[in-house]
Amino acid sequence: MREQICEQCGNKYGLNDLVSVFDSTLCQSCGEKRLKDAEQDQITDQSVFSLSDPTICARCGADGGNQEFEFFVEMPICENCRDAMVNYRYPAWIKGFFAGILIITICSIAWNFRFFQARILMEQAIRIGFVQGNVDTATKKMSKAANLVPGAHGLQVLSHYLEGVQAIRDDDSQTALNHFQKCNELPESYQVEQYMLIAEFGVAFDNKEYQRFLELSIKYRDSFPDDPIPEAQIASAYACLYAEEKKQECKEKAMEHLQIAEEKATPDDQKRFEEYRERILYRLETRRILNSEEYYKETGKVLPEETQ
Amino acid sequence: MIPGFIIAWLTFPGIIVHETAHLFFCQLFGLAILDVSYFRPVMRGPSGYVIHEPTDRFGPTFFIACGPFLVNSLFCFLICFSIFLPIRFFGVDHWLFWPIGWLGLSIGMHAFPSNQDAYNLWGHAKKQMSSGNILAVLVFPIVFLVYIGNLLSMLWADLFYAVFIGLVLPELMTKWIFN
Repeated sequence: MREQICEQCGNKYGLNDLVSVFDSTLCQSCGEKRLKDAEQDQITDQSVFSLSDPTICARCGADGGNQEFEFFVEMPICENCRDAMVNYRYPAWIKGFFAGILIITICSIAWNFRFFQARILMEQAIRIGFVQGNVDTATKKMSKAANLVPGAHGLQVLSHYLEGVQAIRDDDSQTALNHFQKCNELPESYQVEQYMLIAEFGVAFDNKEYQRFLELSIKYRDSFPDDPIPEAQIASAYACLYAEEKKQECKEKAMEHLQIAEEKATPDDQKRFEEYRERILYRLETRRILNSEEYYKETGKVLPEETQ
Repeated sequence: MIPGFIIAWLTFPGIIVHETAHLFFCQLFGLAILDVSYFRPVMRGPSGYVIHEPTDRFGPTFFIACGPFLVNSLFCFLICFSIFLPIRFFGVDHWLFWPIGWLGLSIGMHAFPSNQDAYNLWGHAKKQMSSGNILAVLVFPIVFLVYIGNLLSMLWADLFYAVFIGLVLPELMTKWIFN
Protein backbone atom coordinates (compact mmCIF):
# COMPACT_ATOMS: atom_id res chain seq x y z
CA MET A 1 0.00 0.00 0.00
CA ARG A 2 1.27 3.47 -0.78
CA GLU A 3 1.00 6.31 1.70
CA GLN A 4 1.30 10.05 1.42
CA ILE A 5 1.15 13.03 3.74
CA CYS A 6 -1.78 15.47 3.77
CA GLU A 7 -0.39 18.85 2.75
CA GLN A 8 -2.73 20.59 5.17
CA CYS A 9 -2.66 18.60 8.44
CA GLY A 10 0.63 16.72 7.86
CA ASN A 11 -0.84 13.31 8.79
CA LYS A 12 0.04 10.18 6.83
CA TYR A 13 -2.75 8.40 4.94
CA GLY A 14 -3.14 5.59 2.46
CA LEU A 15 -3.33 6.93 -1.10
CA ASN A 16 -6.95 5.78 -1.48
CA ASP A 17 -7.96 7.98 1.49
CA LEU A 18 -6.57 11.14 -0.08
CA VAL A 19 -8.04 13.60 -2.54
CA SER A 20 -6.55 16.10 -4.93
CA VAL A 21 -8.14 19.52 -4.46
CA PHE A 22 -6.82 22.32 -6.68
CA ASP A 23 -3.50 20.49 -7.13
CA SER A 24 -3.04 19.92 -3.38
CA THR A 25 -3.01 16.42 -1.86
CA LEU A 26 -5.32 16.45 1.13
CA CYS A 27 -7.07 14.05 3.48
CA GLN A 28 -10.88 13.79 3.29
CA SER A 29 -11.60 16.29 6.12
CA CYS A 30 -9.04 18.86 4.96
CA GLY A 31 -10.30 18.49 1.41
CA GLU A 32 -13.88 19.18 2.53
CA LYS A 33 -12.77 22.29 4.41
CA ARG A 34 -10.92 23.56 1.32
CA LEU A 35 -13.97 22.95 -0.85
CA LYS A 36 -16.21 24.92 1.51
CA ASP A 37 -14.10 28.02 0.91
CA ALA A 38 -13.91 27.50 -2.85
CA GLU A 39 -16.18 29.11 -5.43
CA GLN A 40 -18.73 26.66 -6.80
CA ASP A 41 -17.68 27.19 -10.41
CA GLN A 42 -14.06 26.31 -9.59
CA ILE A 43 -15.02 22.76 -8.67
CA THR A 44 -14.62 20.50 -11.70
CA ASP A 45 -13.74 16.83 -12.32
CA GLN A 46 -10.22 17.93 -13.20
CA SER A 47 -9.69 20.16 -10.14
CA VAL A 48 -11.17 17.79 -7.53
CA PHE A 49 -10.73 14.01 -7.63
CA SER A 50 -9.90 11.04 -5.42
CA LEU A 51 -6.43 9.57 -5.57
CA SER A 52 -6.09 5.94 -6.47
CA ASP A 53 -3.54 3.53 -5.11
CA PRO A 54 -2.49 1.20 -7.92
CA THR A 55 -1.23 -1.34 -5.34
CA ILE A 56 -4.73 -1.79 -3.82
CA CYS A 57 -7.38 -3.71 -5.77
CA ALA A 58 -10.33 -1.35 -6.28
CA ARG A 59 -12.81 -4.23 -6.06
CA CYS A 60 -11.69 -6.47 -3.18
CA GLY A 61 -9.19 -4.16 -1.45
CA ALA A 62 -6.32 -6.68 -1.73
CA ASP A 63 -2.94 -5.10 -0.95
CA GLY A 64 -0.27 -5.82 -3.57
CA GLY A 65 2.56 -4.41 -1.41
CA ASN A 66 4.88 -2.60 -3.75
CA GLN A 67 3.52 -4.31 -6.82
CA GLU A 68 1.05 -2.30 -8.87
CA PHE A 69 -2.06 -4.01 -10.19
CA GLU A 70 -2.98 -3.77 -13.84
CA PHE A 71 -5.63 -1.20 -14.64
CA PHE A 72 -8.90 -2.67 -15.86
CA VAL A 73 -11.83 -0.39 -16.72
CA GLU A 74 -9.73 2.49 -15.35
CA MET A 75 -9.25 0.82 -11.97
CA PRO A 76 -6.40 -1.18 -10.43
CA ILE A 77 -7.79 -4.70 -10.26
CA CYS A 78 -6.16 -7.85 -8.91
CA GLU A 79 -5.95 -11.01 -11.00
CA ASN A 80 -8.74 -12.83 -9.12
CA CYS A 81 -11.15 -9.93 -9.37
CA ARG A 82 -10.35 -9.43 -13.04
CA ASP A 83 -11.14 -13.08 -13.68
CA ALA A 84 -14.37 -12.83 -11.67
CA MET A 85 -15.43 -9.74 -13.68
CA VAL A 86 -14.56 -11.12 -17.09
CA ASN A 87 -15.90 -14.60 -16.39
CA TYR A 88 -18.80 -13.62 -14.22
CA ARG A 89 -20.42 -16.61 -12.54
CA TYR A 90 -24.07 -16.49 -11.64
CA PRO A 91 -24.72 -17.07 -7.95
CA ALA A 92 -26.32 -20.41 -7.11
CA TRP A 93 -29.57 -18.80 -5.95
CA ILE A 94 -29.96 -17.02 -9.31
CA LYS A 95 -29.44 -20.29 -11.12
CA GLY A 96 -32.06 -21.85 -8.85
CA PHE A 97 -34.41 -18.93 -9.35
CA PHE A 98 -34.19 -19.16 -13.14
CA ALA A 99 -34.47 -22.92 -13.08
CA GLY A 100 -37.66 -22.42 -11.06
CA ILE A 101 -39.04 -19.86 -13.51
CA LEU A 102 -38.23 -22.13 -16.45
CA ILE A 103 -39.76 -25.15 -14.75
CA ILE A 104 -42.91 -23.19 -13.92
CA THR A 105 -43.15 -21.86 -17.48
CA ILE A 106 -42.57 -25.23 -19.14
CA CYS A 107 -44.79 -27.18 -16.73
CA SER A 108 -47.56 -24.62 -17.00
CA ILE A 109 -47.45 -24.72 -20.80
CA ALA A 110 -47.26 -28.53 -20.84
CA TRP A 111 -50.01 -28.98 -18.25
CA ASN A 112 -52.32 -26.52 -19.94
CA PHE A 113 -51.56 -27.67 -23.48
CA ARG A 114 -54.60 -29.94 -23.23
CA PHE A 115 -56.76 -26.79 -23.15
CA PHE A 116 -55.20 -25.73 -26.42
CA GLN A 117 -55.86 -29.19 -27.89
CA ALA A 118 -59.40 -29.14 -26.53
CA ARG A 119 -60.04 -25.75 -28.10
CA ILE A 120 -58.79 -27.00 -31.48
CA LEU A 121 -60.95 -30.16 -31.25
CA MET A 122 -63.92 -28.09 -30.19
CA GLU A 123 -63.54 -25.68 -33.10
CA GLN A 124 -63.26 -28.65 -35.47
CA ALA A 125 -66.32 -30.29 -33.92
CA ILE A 126 -68.36 -27.11 -34.29
CA ARG A 127 -67.30 -26.72 -37.92
CA ILE A 128 -67.86 -30.38 -38.79
CA GLY A 129 -71.06 -30.78 -36.80
CA PHE A 130 -72.86 -27.48 -37.19
CA VAL A 131 -71.62 -26.33 -40.57
CA GLN A 132 -70.95 -29.58 -42.46
CA GLY A 133 -73.61 -31.61 -40.63
CA ASN A 134 -71.35 -34.57 -39.85
CA VAL A 135 -72.69 -35.15 -36.33
CA ASP A 136 -70.96 -38.49 -35.83
CA THR A 137 -67.41 -37.14 -36.28
CA ALA A 138 -68.28 -33.92 -34.47
CA THR A 139 -69.55 -35.88 -31.47
CA LYS A 140 -66.35 -37.92 -31.29
CA LYS A 141 -64.20 -34.80 -31.45
CA MET A 142 -66.27 -32.93 -28.89
CA SER A 143 -66.21 -35.90 -26.51
CA LYS A 144 -62.46 -36.12 -26.88
CA ALA A 145 -62.19 -32.40 -26.12
CA ALA A 146 -64.46 -32.76 -23.08
CA ASN A 147 -62.38 -35.68 -21.79
CA LEU A 148 -59.20 -33.62 -22.12
CA VAL A 149 -60.56 -30.90 -19.83
CA PRO A 150 -63.14 -32.45 -17.51
CA GLY A 151 -63.34 -29.25 -15.46
CA ALA A 152 -64.56 -27.15 -18.40
CA HIS A 153 -68.30 -27.05 -17.80
CA GLY A 154 -69.27 -25.31 -21.07
CA LEU A 155 -67.41 -27.90 -23.07
CA GLN A 156 -69.10 -30.76 -21.20
CA VAL A 157 -72.49 -29.23 -22.02
CA LEU A 158 -71.63 -28.97 -25.72
CA SER A 159 -70.41 -32.54 -25.68
CA HIS A 160 -73.68 -33.72 -24.09
CA TYR A 161 -75.57 -31.77 -26.73
CA LEU A 162 -73.81 -33.45 -29.65
CA GLU A 163 -74.04 -36.86 -27.99
CA GLY A 164 -77.76 -36.25 -27.57
CA VAL A 165 -78.16 -35.39 -31.24
CA GLN A 166 -76.17 -38.48 -32.16
CA ALA A 167 -78.30 -40.66 -29.86
CA ILE A 168 -81.46 -39.38 -31.56
CA ARG A 169 -79.98 -40.34 -34.90
CA ASP A 170 -79.23 -43.77 -33.46
CA ASP A 171 -82.87 -44.08 -32.23
CA ASP A 172 -81.65 -44.23 -28.63
CA SER A 173 -84.17 -41.81 -27.15
CA GLN A 174 -83.50 -42.51 -23.47
CA THR A 175 -79.75 -41.81 -23.90
CA ALA A 176 -80.57 -38.69 -25.90
CA LEU A 177 -82.91 -37.48 -23.17
CA ASN A 178 -80.26 -38.03 -20.50
CA HIS A 179 -77.78 -35.94 -22.50
CA PHE A 180 -80.22 -33.14 -23.32
CA GLN A 181 -81.23 -32.83 -19.69
CA LYS A 182 -77.69 -31.56 -19.05
CA CYS A 183 -77.89 -28.90 -21.77
CA ASN A 184 -80.45 -26.49 -20.27
CA GLU A 185 -78.07 -23.55 -20.22
CA LEU A 186 -77.39 -23.59 -23.97
CA PRO A 187 -78.85 -20.63 -25.90
CA GLU A 188 -82.19 -20.96 -27.65
CA SER A 189 -80.52 -21.24 -31.05
CA TYR A 190 -79.42 -24.78 -30.10
CA GLN A 191 -83.12 -25.81 -29.94
CA VAL A 192 -82.51 -27.96 -26.88
CA GLU A 193 -86.19 -27.80 -25.94
CA GLN A 194 -87.22 -29.20 -29.32
CA TYR A 195 -84.59 -31.91 -29.19
CA MET A 196 -85.77 -32.85 -25.73
CA LEU A 197 -89.29 -33.17 -27.08
CA ILE A 198 -88.06 -35.49 -29.82
CA ALA A 199 -86.22 -37.56 -27.23
CA GLU A 200 -89.22 -37.56 -24.90
CA PHE A 201 -91.68 -38.76 -27.50
CA GLY A 202 -89.09 -41.32 -28.55
CA VAL A 203 -88.98 -42.57 -24.96
CA ALA A 204 -92.79 -42.54 -24.81
CA PHE A 205 -92.89 -44.61 -28.02
CA ASP A 206 -90.31 -47.06 -26.70
CA ASN A 207 -92.25 -47.41 -23.43
CA LYS A 208 -95.51 -47.89 -25.39
CA GLU A 209 -97.03 -44.78 -23.74
CA TYR A 210 -98.88 -43.78 -26.91
CA GLN A 211 -101.18 -41.18 -25.35
CA ARG A 212 -98.09 -39.31 -24.08
CA PHE A 213 -96.47 -39.88 -27.46
CA LEU A 214 -99.46 -38.09 -29.01
CA GLU A 215 -99.38 -35.17 -26.55
CA LEU A 216 -95.68 -34.60 -27.06
CA SER A 217 -96.04 -34.86 -30.86
CA ILE A 218 -98.69 -32.12 -30.80
CA LYS A 219 -96.39 -29.96 -28.66
CA TYR A 220 -93.53 -30.60 -31.08
CA ARG A 221 -95.68 -29.80 -34.12
CA ASP A 222 -96.56 -26.43 -32.50
CA SER A 223 -92.84 -25.57 -32.51
CA PHE A 224 -92.57 -26.31 -36.24
CA PRO A 225 -96.02 -25.55 -37.67
CA ASP A 226 -94.82 -25.49 -41.30
CA ASP A 227 -92.84 -28.74 -41.22
CA PRO A 228 -94.72 -31.81 -42.57
CA ILE A 229 -92.78 -34.32 -40.44
CA PRO A 230 -94.04 -33.15 -37.00
CA GLU A 231 -97.55 -33.20 -38.44
CA ALA A 232 -96.95 -36.73 -39.67
CA GLN A 233 -95.61 -37.53 -36.20
CA ILE A 234 -99.11 -36.82 -34.83
CA ALA A 235 -100.52 -39.16 -37.47
CA SER A 236 -97.99 -41.74 -36.33
CA ALA A 237 -99.10 -41.34 -32.69
CA TYR A 238 -102.77 -41.77 -33.66
CA ALA A 239 -101.79 -44.82 -35.72
CA CYS A 240 -100.19 -46.30 -32.60
CA LEU A 241 -103.32 -45.59 -30.55
CA TYR A 242 -105.43 -47.18 -33.31
CA ALA A 243 -103.20 -50.24 -33.37
CA GLU A 244 -103.44 -50.63 -29.63
CA GLU A 245 -106.99 -49.49 -28.82
CA LYS A 246 -108.60 -50.34 -32.19
CA LYS A 247 -110.65 -47.12 -32.14
CA GLN A 248 -111.80 -46.14 -35.62
CA GLU A 249 -111.73 -42.52 -34.52
CA CYS A 250 -107.94 -42.74 -34.04
CA LYS A 251 -107.51 -44.12 -37.56
CA GLU A 252 -109.53 -41.21 -38.95
CA LYS A 253 -107.46 -38.71 -36.97
CA ALA A 254 -104.27 -40.35 -38.27
CA MET A 255 -105.47 -40.04 -41.88
CA GLU A 256 -106.56 -36.45 -41.26
CA HIS A 257 -103.11 -35.41 -39.97
CA LEU A 258 -101.40 -37.35 -42.73
CA GLN A 259 -103.44 -35.33 -45.21
CA ILE A 260 -102.42 -32.04 -43.53
CA ALA A 261 -98.81 -33.15 -43.55
CA GLU A 262 -99.01 -33.95 -47.24
CA GLU A 263 -100.30 -30.46 -47.93
CA LYS A 264 -97.44 -28.95 -45.96
CA ALA A 265 -94.78 -30.99 -47.75
CA THR A 266 -92.73 -29.05 -50.30
CA PRO A 267 -90.96 -30.82 -53.18
CA ASP A 268 -87.82 -30.83 -51.01
CA ASP A 269 -89.65 -32.65 -48.21
CA GLN A 270 -91.22 -35.25 -50.51
CA LYS A 271 -88.63 -37.98 -50.16
CA ARG A 272 -88.47 -38.15 -46.36
CA PHE A 273 -92.19 -37.49 -46.04
CA GLU A 274 -93.12 -40.32 -48.42
CA GLU A 275 -90.95 -42.75 -46.54
CA TYR A 276 -92.56 -41.79 -43.25
CA ARG A 277 -96.06 -41.84 -44.75
CA GLU A 278 -95.59 -45.42 -45.95
CA ARG A 279 -94.60 -46.53 -42.47
CA ILE A 280 -97.66 -44.88 -40.92
CA LEU A 281 -99.98 -46.41 -43.52
CA TYR A 282 -98.39 -49.81 -42.91
CA ARG A 283 -99.08 -49.39 -39.19
CA LEU A 284 -102.71 -48.47 -39.87
CA GLU A 285 -103.11 -51.36 -42.26
CA THR A 286 -101.48 -54.08 -40.15
CA ARG A 287 -102.17 -52.59 -36.70
CA ARG A 288 -98.66 -53.58 -35.74
CA ILE A 289 -96.40 -51.06 -34.07
CA LEU A 290 -92.88 -51.45 -35.42
CA ASN A 291 -89.92 -49.19 -35.00
CA SER A 292 -88.09 -48.12 -38.14
CA GLU A 293 -85.54 -50.91 -37.94
CA GLU A 294 -88.20 -53.58 -37.49
CA TYR A 295 -90.27 -52.05 -40.29
CA TYR A 296 -87.46 -52.18 -42.83
CA LYS A 297 -86.53 -55.66 -41.77
CA GLU A 298 -90.08 -56.88 -42.16
CA THR A 299 -90.88 -55.13 -45.42
CA GLY A 300 -87.47 -55.77 -46.95
CA LYS A 301 -87.21 -52.14 -48.01
CA VAL A 302 -83.90 -50.29 -47.97
CA LEU A 303 -83.33 -48.20 -44.86
CA PRO A 304 -82.83 -44.59 -45.95
CA GLU A 305 -79.92 -42.59 -44.57
CA GLU A 306 -82.07 -40.45 -42.34
CA THR A 307 -85.22 -41.64 -40.64
CA GLN A 308 -87.62 -40.06 -38.20
CA MET B 1 -49.77 6.37 -4.49
CA ILE B 2 -48.00 3.14 -3.46
CA PRO B 3 -44.28 3.59 -2.62
CA GLY B 4 -41.90 2.10 -5.15
CA PHE B 5 -40.23 -0.26 -2.72
CA ILE B 6 -43.58 -1.89 -1.88
CA ILE B 7 -44.21 -2.45 -5.59
CA ALA B 8 -40.64 -3.76 -5.82
CA TRP B 9 -41.38 -6.30 -3.07
CA LEU B 10 -44.68 -7.29 -4.65
CA THR B 11 -43.11 -7.80 -8.06
CA PHE B 12 -39.59 -8.87 -7.11
CA PRO B 13 -39.36 -11.77 -9.64
CA GLY B 14 -39.66 -9.19 -12.44
CA ILE B 15 -36.74 -7.16 -11.08
CA ILE B 16 -34.54 -10.24 -10.82
CA VAL B 17 -35.42 -11.31 -14.37
CA HIS B 18 -34.80 -7.73 -15.59
CA GLU B 19 -31.31 -7.53 -14.09
CA THR B 20 -30.45 -11.05 -15.19
CA ALA B 21 -31.46 -10.14 -18.74
CA HIS B 22 -29.01 -7.21 -18.65
CA LEU B 23 -26.38 -9.56 -17.34
CA PHE B 24 -27.11 -12.20 -19.94
CA PHE B 25 -26.59 -9.78 -22.83
CA CYS B 26 -23.43 -8.35 -21.21
CA GLN B 27 -22.01 -11.86 -21.14
CA LEU B 28 -23.25 -12.58 -24.63
CA PHE B 29 -21.20 -9.64 -25.92
CA GLY B 30 -18.18 -10.49 -23.74
CA LEU B 31 -18.34 -7.48 -21.44
CA ALA B 32 -16.94 -7.68 -17.93
CA ILE B 33 -19.36 -7.32 -15.03
CA LEU B 34 -18.18 -4.86 -12.42
CA ASP B 35 -21.06 -5.08 -9.99
CA VAL B 36 -24.55 -6.55 -9.81
CA SER B 37 -27.52 -6.15 -7.54
CA TYR B 38 -30.37 -8.45 -8.51
CA PHE B 39 -32.80 -7.01 -6.06
CA ARG B 40 -32.59 -4.27 -3.43
CA PRO B 41 -35.89 -2.88 -2.23
CA VAL B 42 -34.70 0.63 -1.33
CA MET B 43 -36.76 3.75 -0.76
CA ARG B 44 -34.71 5.72 -3.30
CA GLY B 45 -32.71 4.65 -6.32
CA PRO B 46 -33.01 1.62 -8.55
CA SER B 47 -34.29 -1.70 -7.21
CA GLY B 48 -31.46 -3.50 -8.97
CA TYR B 49 -28.54 -2.71 -11.24
CA VAL B 50 -25.78 -4.15 -13.39
CA ILE B 51 -22.55 -2.18 -13.81
CA HIS B 52 -20.60 -3.46 -16.76
CA GLU B 53 -17.48 -2.65 -18.73
CA PRO B 54 -18.17 0.28 -21.05
CA THR B 55 -18.33 -0.37 -24.77
CA ASP B 56 -18.25 1.80 -27.87
CA ARG B 57 -20.15 -0.75 -29.92
CA PHE B 58 -23.74 0.15 -30.64
CA GLY B 59 -25.18 -3.39 -30.90
CA PRO B 60 -24.17 -4.51 -27.41
CA THR B 61 -25.37 -1.21 -25.94
CA PHE B 62 -28.73 -1.63 -27.64
CA PHE B 63 -29.24 -5.22 -26.57
CA ILE B 64 -28.00 -4.70 -23.03
CA ALA B 65 -30.39 -1.77 -22.60
CA CYS B 66 -33.36 -3.42 -24.34
CA GLY B 67 -32.63 -7.04 -23.33
CA PRO B 68 -35.00 -6.96 -20.35
CA PHE B 69 -37.74 -5.65 -22.59
CA LEU B 70 -37.44 -8.72 -24.79
CA VAL B 71 -36.82 -11.28 -22.05
CA ASN B 72 -39.40 -10.03 -19.54
CA SER B 73 -42.05 -9.60 -22.25
CA LEU B 74 -41.39 -13.11 -23.54
CA PHE B 75 -41.64 -14.71 -20.09
CA CYS B 76 -44.71 -12.65 -19.24
CA PHE B 77 -46.42 -13.79 -22.45
CA LEU B 78 -45.48 -17.47 -22.11
CA ILE B 79 -46.44 -17.73 -18.46
CA CYS B 80 -49.73 -15.84 -18.83
CA PHE B 81 -50.65 -17.56 -22.10
CA SER B 82 -50.39 -20.94 -20.42
CA ILE B 83 -53.22 -20.06 -18.03
CA PHE B 84 -55.17 -17.81 -20.39
CA LEU B 85 -57.17 -20.46 -22.27
CA PRO B 86 -58.35 -22.41 -19.23
CA ILE B 87 -59.49 -19.26 -17.43
CA ARG B 88 -60.77 -17.06 -20.23
CA PHE B 89 -62.23 -19.64 -22.59
CA PHE B 90 -63.11 -22.66 -20.48
CA GLY B 91 -63.90 -20.86 -17.22
CA VAL B 92 -61.72 -23.29 -15.30
CA ASP B 93 -60.40 -22.07 -11.97
CA HIS B 94 -57.45 -23.58 -10.12
CA TRP B 95 -55.61 -22.18 -7.11
CA LEU B 96 -52.29 -22.55 -8.96
CA PHE B 97 -53.41 -20.10 -11.64
CA TRP B 98 -53.18 -17.22 -9.15
CA PRO B 99 -49.46 -17.52 -8.28
CA ILE B 100 -48.67 -18.28 -11.92
CA GLY B 101 -50.59 -15.21 -13.06
CA TRP B 102 -48.86 -13.08 -10.42
CA LEU B 103 -45.48 -14.38 -11.58
CA GLY B 104 -46.23 -13.62 -15.24
CA LEU B 105 -47.57 -10.14 -14.60
CA SER B 106 -44.83 -9.17 -12.15
CA ILE B 107 -42.23 -10.17 -14.74
CA GLY B 108 -44.10 -8.18 -17.40
CA MET B 109 -44.26 -5.12 -15.15
CA HIS B 110 -40.48 -4.83 -15.22
CA ALA B 111 -40.05 -5.22 -18.95
CA PHE B 112 -39.57 -1.51 -19.55
CA PRO B 113 -35.92 -0.42 -19.67
CA SER B 114 -35.08 2.09 -16.94
CA ASN B 115 -34.33 5.76 -17.56
CA GLN B 116 -30.66 4.93 -17.02
CA ASP B 117 -30.87 2.28 -19.78
CA ALA B 118 -32.50 4.85 -22.06
CA TYR B 119 -29.86 7.42 -21.17
CA ASN B 120 -27.05 5.00 -22.07
CA LEU B 121 -28.76 4.16 -25.33
CA TRP B 122 -29.36 7.81 -26.14
CA GLY B 123 -25.67 8.69 -25.67
CA HIS B 124 -24.58 5.87 -27.95
CA ALA B 125 -27.20 6.60 -30.57
CA LYS B 126 -26.04 10.20 -30.79
CA LYS B 127 -22.44 9.09 -31.26
CA GLN B 128 -23.46 6.53 -33.89
CA MET B 129 -25.52 9.09 -35.76
CA SER B 130 -22.59 11.46 -35.96
CA SER B 131 -20.43 8.63 -37.30
CA GLY B 132 -23.00 7.89 -39.99
CA ASN B 133 -24.90 4.87 -38.62
CA ILE B 134 -28.38 5.49 -39.99
CA LEU B 135 -29.85 2.56 -38.03
CA ALA B 136 -29.17 4.43 -34.82
CA VAL B 137 -31.95 6.82 -35.74
CA LEU B 138 -34.41 4.01 -34.94
CA VAL B 139 -33.31 4.20 -31.33
CA PHE B 140 -34.60 7.73 -30.78
CA PRO B 141 -38.30 6.83 -30.77
CA ILE B 142 -37.50 3.85 -28.54
CA VAL B 143 -35.72 6.09 -26.07
CA PHE B 144 -38.61 8.53 -26.24
CA LEU B 145 -41.10 5.72 -25.51
CA VAL B 146 -38.98 4.46 -22.62
CA TYR B 147 -38.92 7.92 -21.03
CA ILE B 148 -42.67 8.30 -21.54
CA GLY B 149 -43.27 4.78 -20.19
CA ASN B 150 -41.19 5.46 -17.08
CA LEU B 151 -42.91 8.78 -16.58
CA LEU B 152 -46.32 7.12 -16.91
CA SER B 153 -45.33 4.34 -14.52
CA MET B 154 -46.71 6.67 -11.86
CA LEU B 155 -50.03 6.05 -13.60
CA TRP B 156 -49.40 2.29 -13.69
CA ALA B 157 -48.18 2.20 -17.31
CA ASP B 158 -45.92 -0.72 -16.38
CA LEU B 159 -48.90 -2.67 -15.06
CA PHE B 160 -50.93 -1.81 -18.16
CA TYR B 161 -48.09 -3.04 -20.33
CA ALA B 162 -47.95 -6.32 -18.37
CA VAL B 163 -51.72 -6.69 -18.76
CA PHE B 164 -51.39 -6.05 -22.49
CA ILE B 165 -48.67 -8.68 -22.91
CA GLY B 166 -50.16 -11.18 -20.48
CA LEU B 167 -53.89 -10.88 -21.19
CA VAL B 168 -54.67 -8.82 -24.30
CA LEU B 169 -52.03 -10.36 -26.54
CA PRO B 170 -53.12 -13.97 -25.77
CA GLU B 171 -56.71 -12.89 -26.45
CA LEU B 172 -55.75 -11.44 -29.85
CA MET B 173 -53.58 -14.42 -30.64
CA THR B 174 -56.23 -17.02 -29.84
CA LYS B 175 -58.72 -15.08 -31.92
CA TRP B 176 -56.27 -15.08 -34.79
CA ILE B 177 -55.49 -18.79 -34.40
CA PHE B 178 -59.04 -20.04 -34.02
CA ASN B 179 -60.93 -17.73 -36.36
